[in-house]
Amino acid sequence: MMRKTVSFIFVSLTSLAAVVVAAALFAIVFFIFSESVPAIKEVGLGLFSPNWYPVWEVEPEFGIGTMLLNSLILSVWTSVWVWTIGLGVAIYLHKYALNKERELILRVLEYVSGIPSVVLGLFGVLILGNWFLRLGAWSAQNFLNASIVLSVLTLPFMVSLTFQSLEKVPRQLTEGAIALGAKDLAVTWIELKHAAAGIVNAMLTVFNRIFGETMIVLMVAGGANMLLKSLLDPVRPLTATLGSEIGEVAVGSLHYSVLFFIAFLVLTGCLILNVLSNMITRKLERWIKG
Amino acid sequence: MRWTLRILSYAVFLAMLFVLVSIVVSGLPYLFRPGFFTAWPRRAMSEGGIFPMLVGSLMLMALVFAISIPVGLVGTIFLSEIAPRKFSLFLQSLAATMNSVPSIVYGVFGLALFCIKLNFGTSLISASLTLSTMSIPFFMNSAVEFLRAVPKELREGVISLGANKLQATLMVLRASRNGILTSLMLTLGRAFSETAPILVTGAVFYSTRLPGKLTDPVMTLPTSIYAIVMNLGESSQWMAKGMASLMVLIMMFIYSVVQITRRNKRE
Amino acid sequence: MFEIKNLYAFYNDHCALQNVNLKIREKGITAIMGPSGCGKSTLLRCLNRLNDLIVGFSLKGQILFRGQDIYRIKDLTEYRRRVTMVFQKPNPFPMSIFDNIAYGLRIHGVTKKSILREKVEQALRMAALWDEVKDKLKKPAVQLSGGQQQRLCIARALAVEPEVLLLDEPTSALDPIATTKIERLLEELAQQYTVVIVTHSMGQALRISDEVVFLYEGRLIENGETSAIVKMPRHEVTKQFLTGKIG
Repeated sequence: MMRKTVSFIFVSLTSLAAVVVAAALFAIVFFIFSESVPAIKEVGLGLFSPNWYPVWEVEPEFGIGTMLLNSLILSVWTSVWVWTIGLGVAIYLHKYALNKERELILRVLEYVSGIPSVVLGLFGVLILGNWFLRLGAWSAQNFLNASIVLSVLTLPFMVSLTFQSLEKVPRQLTEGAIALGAKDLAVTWIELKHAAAGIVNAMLTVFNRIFGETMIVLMVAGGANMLLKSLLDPVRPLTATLGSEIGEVAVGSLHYSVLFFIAFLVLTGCLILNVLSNMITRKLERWIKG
Repeated sequence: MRWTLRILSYAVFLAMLFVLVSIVVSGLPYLFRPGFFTAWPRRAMSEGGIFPMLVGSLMLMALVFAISIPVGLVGTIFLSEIAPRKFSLFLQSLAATMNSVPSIVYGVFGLALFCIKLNFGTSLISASLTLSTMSIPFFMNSAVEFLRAVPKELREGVISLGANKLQATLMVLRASRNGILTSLMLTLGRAFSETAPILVTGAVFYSTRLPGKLTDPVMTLPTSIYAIVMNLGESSQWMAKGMASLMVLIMMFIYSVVQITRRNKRE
Repeated sequence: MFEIKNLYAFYNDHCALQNVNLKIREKGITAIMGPSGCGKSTLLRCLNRLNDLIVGFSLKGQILFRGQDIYRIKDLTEYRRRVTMVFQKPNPFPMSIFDNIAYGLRIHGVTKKSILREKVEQALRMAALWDEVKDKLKKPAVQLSGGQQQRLCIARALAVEPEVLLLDEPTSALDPIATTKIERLLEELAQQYTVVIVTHSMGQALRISDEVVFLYEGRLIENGETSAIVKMPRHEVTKQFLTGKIG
């Protein structure tokens, strides 16, 4: 009889925990949105202007336009590099690498994936920054620097996920293609198509990560709110503004609310990407596996 | 084709290795300075040691562990053993979604909820609650795969001897304990490394004493690295490098343990 | 011991068992046989309600154990102690040999060390495994050979002192020598327990069973004393199975 009550408590406790977790996501979206409502009401479309002067007393402007653009450019630019390089390395590991090579490379990549983002930021500022200065850049902290560090952050993940997707391709498929006399490239193409779902998922996750990353861009991208004109320009992505100003802003002020609006944008962007990724993955999987 | 990819991979490998090694090596000598681990920082962190940051990070980790592991474990059990399949998949995708939310958003949320609405202020408790909110989905995502991987023969075996739900679950936990341990270490490792969520909710750059109660602010390793690199001069950078080196070494240790556990499990 | 009345079993829309009516005798060995996919495992798993675990499973009809409807019993875990099962692929728990056997006892409330030790030895002796493992009780059970693992599973089932032992193709994953050992063991156990075994080996059924139940495509074709059926199969399908035309 004791066993029955313990069992019952057990089931109810676990259900409660799961419900709490589910509620958390909704709570997050709700909170952030509600704090950003004043900004939406008072500033409206002005939020998307390129002028960010939140602390002016007379006519403060809260335009996140430039920052948003910079964020997007940085994310797209870096992602494309990470996607191609990551894919290349993953293919190499899957098809051509010797066991020892594969283990070594994957092990090092795993260690790098464990480097805290703030430490990578330190690397960008102190080590890469010096190189940039020596190369004549006018700012040690700039777009390219941020892009490189962000690549270091996300490349291990891209390689790992793509590699796993390729490894999951059933042997019969690969062997079937080879048996038909297909050449190297064609065989790889078939494997990639089968692994497409996992790869696309990895690509979108990488983009998501880069877009949402704060510490690195805070430290390494430079702080200038100007639209990017050359790779060595300092820029200020959305998350950097959020990270640096949220600590000093007056609670309840319009500035505060606009910052929450930024957070809400970032959050929504991430959620949309997530949904997109799930949809695409599911479509691809159905198309591949029938 | 093979050679282009090979050169590419080696280049990437060497670049990554360089990043890893340069960070560790640049700070390694400082770890051996007398008093590095036991002294307080002095003179705008240009002298002294990292004692309060070390303690702060440890306290934070202990709290995050105490809050998120029990909740996470229980939630994972629910996901894998109790929930009906459709609901379970739904919850799991929710957890996966939460996992992809940028850490700064958690920080902002933590600020709004814990620091302001619940009035905990910039404190140890706000920071640990924020980190926990982030860590629980991460843990669940990782652990649930291990639980699900337990073969159904094991579950059938215990049920056919007359075990009830609780006893059967205990057996599944036992069978997947390596995986759960791995998930636990990875979760704590991630919480240890995160900066953005605690920057705004609990960490300060300089405090004269250790947090005495939960509502005190705390100094931590990652936030201090940030502070030194961004705000302080050349003479303080050594401390940041030392801390960075230490953090990377700790993370490498955690990952090594995870790798060894993974290899053992395969045998 | 068991009385099965008008049993229909479904996996979602697929009907796995149709209108099975059957009585299973107390003690002795009853073998359930038939070609692959005929529903033998499904039938066996209905007897200890293991099919409850499968999503989408449903059944119609009645199964009586000692006159009681097993779908109306209050304490399912106690029922499963009385009707235990051994599976096709040996599934030792990730623990020591001793803990494996003791597991069943512990979950039913036995905790005293001395009693556990006694019952574990008793179970291992009954399964003819004691002499081989008595010196290594603390070693992990997964280190045993396939045949030993299966005897361990049998010992584990016997430890809880059941009345019925259900076995789902217990020797199909084992080599001939291990198979013989287990068949000997089952013959001995059949004097004390009701043994119901699913097998796809006709030879095995002929060798050890007292009664045989023959299924084909989810239907009960015939059942009765083994020697009688083998000499004089009444149905065409049974005849074909016995002569190896279908399998």
